[in-house]
Amino acid sequence: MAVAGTLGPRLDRERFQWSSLLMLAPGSVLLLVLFLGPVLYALYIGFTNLALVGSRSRDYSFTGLENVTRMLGDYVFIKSSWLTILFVVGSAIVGQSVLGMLLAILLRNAVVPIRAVVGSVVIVAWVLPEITVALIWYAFSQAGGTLSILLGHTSSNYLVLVPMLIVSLANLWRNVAFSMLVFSAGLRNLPSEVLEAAEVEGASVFRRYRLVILPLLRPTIVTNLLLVTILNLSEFTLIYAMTQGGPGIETTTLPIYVYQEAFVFHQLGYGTAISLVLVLIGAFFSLLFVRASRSQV
Amino acid sequence: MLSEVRFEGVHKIFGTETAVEDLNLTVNAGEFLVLVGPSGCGKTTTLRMLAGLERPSYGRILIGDKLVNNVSPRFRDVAMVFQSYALYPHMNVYDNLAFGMRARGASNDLVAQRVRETAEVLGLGHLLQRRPSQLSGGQRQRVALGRALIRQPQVFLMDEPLSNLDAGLRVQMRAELSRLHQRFRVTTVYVTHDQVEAMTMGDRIAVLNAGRLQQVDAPETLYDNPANMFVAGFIGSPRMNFVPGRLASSEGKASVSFLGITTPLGTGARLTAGAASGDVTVGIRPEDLMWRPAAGPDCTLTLHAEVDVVEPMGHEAYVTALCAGETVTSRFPPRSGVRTQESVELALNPARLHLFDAQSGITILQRPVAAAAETLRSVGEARTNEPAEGRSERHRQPEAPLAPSRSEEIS
Ligand SMILES: Nc1ncnc2c1ncn2[C@@H]1O[C@H](COP(=O)(O)OP(=O)(O)OP(=O)(O)O)[C@@H](O)[C@H]1O
Ligand SMILES: [Mg+2]
Repeated sequence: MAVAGTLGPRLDRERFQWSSLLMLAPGSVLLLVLFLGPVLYALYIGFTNLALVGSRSRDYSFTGLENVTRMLGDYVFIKSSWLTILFVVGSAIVGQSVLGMLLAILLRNAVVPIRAVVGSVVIVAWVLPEITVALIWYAFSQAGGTLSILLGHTSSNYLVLVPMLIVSLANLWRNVAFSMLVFSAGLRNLPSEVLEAAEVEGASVFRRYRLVILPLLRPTIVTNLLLVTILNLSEFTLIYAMTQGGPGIETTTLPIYVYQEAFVFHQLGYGTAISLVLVLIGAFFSLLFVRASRSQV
Repeated sequence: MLSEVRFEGVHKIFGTETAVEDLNLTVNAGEFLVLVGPSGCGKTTTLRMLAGLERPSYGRILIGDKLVNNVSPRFRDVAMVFQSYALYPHMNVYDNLAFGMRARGASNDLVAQRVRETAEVLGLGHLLQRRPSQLSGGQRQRVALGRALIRQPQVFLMDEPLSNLDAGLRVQMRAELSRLHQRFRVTTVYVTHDQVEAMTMGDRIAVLNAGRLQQVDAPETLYDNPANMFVAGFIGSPRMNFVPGRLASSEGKASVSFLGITTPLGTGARLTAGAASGDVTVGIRPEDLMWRPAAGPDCTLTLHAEVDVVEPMGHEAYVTALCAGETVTSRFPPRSGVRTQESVELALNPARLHLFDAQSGITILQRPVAAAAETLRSVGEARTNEPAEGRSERHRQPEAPLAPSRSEEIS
């Protein structure tokens, strides 16, 4: 604009004040020492041959890309990565989010008693300690357990037959309340008159959800996906309590493999390297969601 | 196509609060009914019940002879302008306008054409790609209006659709709506706080107070024969003066005393059956209480008053004066030169008096309806300084500004 030059510096620009550094200093130091430090240290350890016990625990050394090469040739690691992705996509992203959304939608339209009962049952499952959930599902899926009776094969141990499916279901069963609560809150906060306008304009239920409700819920959906992915990616207790990663390596997801490498086989360096891969997978999904949330807003 | 709308004994109760009470109202097919009343009197609730967004607590609602109490909003075929606009925040103006037509399965070409026409009429043509959050309040309101106008429903429901527009735009939109209604005669229920809109646009006006219907009548009738003090005070600006008076009747001749004078009731006016001698409330419209030098020969009564406040409006002045202990407002011509504390003579035509029962506030005097044009003018001018545009749109022939291809319109 023509006036810009004559009026001096803009007053509505963000300004930097040196004195603010002083205020930020304590927080920055804490962050550096307690957060960034360990993260960088872990990054470094991931490229060493550090061991938990033995001579390597004292004089370990930087080994460059050795851990990476080892990973690429490690059948267990490759399988474990796929299992992790399967677990996160199946149980968390698809199962937990979709089911959570469905529950939230159904409960929103349900009469009060049903809403109260179903809502509390779902939430109780979530409040139960993970060990308890593991025990419930362990018993449920054993030969002679409820599941086998329901399916008419009392001699089948489903935790052996389809172990990944069972742990995924157990995880889904436990965590669906989280997504349901997030989506319920999101639905409650939608501007009701906007939805009414769509109804008066003649849009069917399906159309209203597709064109109005879900788009308006987009930020909630993205937040939910991010949280659910990150939470499930590092899921350890439930799976380990139910299967210890077995039978064989059928349920050895990355967190369990990390545990085994680092604490059972004492390969701290290699274990750390694997956990870095876990971080990469998490970062990949997060980026995906954030991108998706931005593309249409 | 033209559908009548009927409320039969409709109540709406929220918890302990009765928002609408025993509403009996028929909106004739093709009629433009204006709904007015103070804030919180149940106007929006009435519209929402008609749209199906609120279920009546009691009573029946019919659209075109069809009982719609249990019909979902989707199938009522009404178009509503929400008081809060309720635009789709994630869609641009184009998609907001197109939503309803698309939901009803209109072809893309038809949608594009109608969106263009509607946006044109509402002056939104250059804003089609903006989202609601990037629009001013008045622009949003026009989008909300356009979202209804783009369709041809059985009934239009408009909740203060012009309240946020500037004076010029409001006059223009008012004319536009009137033309559209002339052209397509879609039954319309229109809520407004604006007296000019009510008087000039409505075939009839329904006055609501505290959830109860007070009166439904043509604007002139409502203005000249208000059913009670509430309607008398609500319609017309400045407000009608109310002063205490006494009614006396002997040998079939009735006379009324107020503000220190006594006058026989004019010919043509007659008392209702319930009228009894005793205390009454006398209503005098400010324009009927004139400055003596400016008054005509009909104004046979003279009152002496002391000027309290003079409010010059430009084309006239409102003068608040003290007369026999009562404060009254009257309309003076501009530049009368009258000042505060000056003594003035006010002139009054006895035929223009209104009488109300002192207790119930119900009118006890029936008067013949005055010429419509005069009423319209007085109200129009009393309200604002808007140009004469607003006066008689209702009587004007449509000029087809929004010439939509209604024949191809989807059902
Ligand atoms: N959902 C609700 N729950 C409880 N009370 C309500 C509800 N909706 C409206 N009311 C009450 O009903 C009465 C009528 O409300 P309504 O919105 O119809 O008023 P209105 O005539 O449209 O007023 P305004 O001119 O301010 O828009 C008000 O007293 C309001 O508080
Ligand atoms: Mg309202």
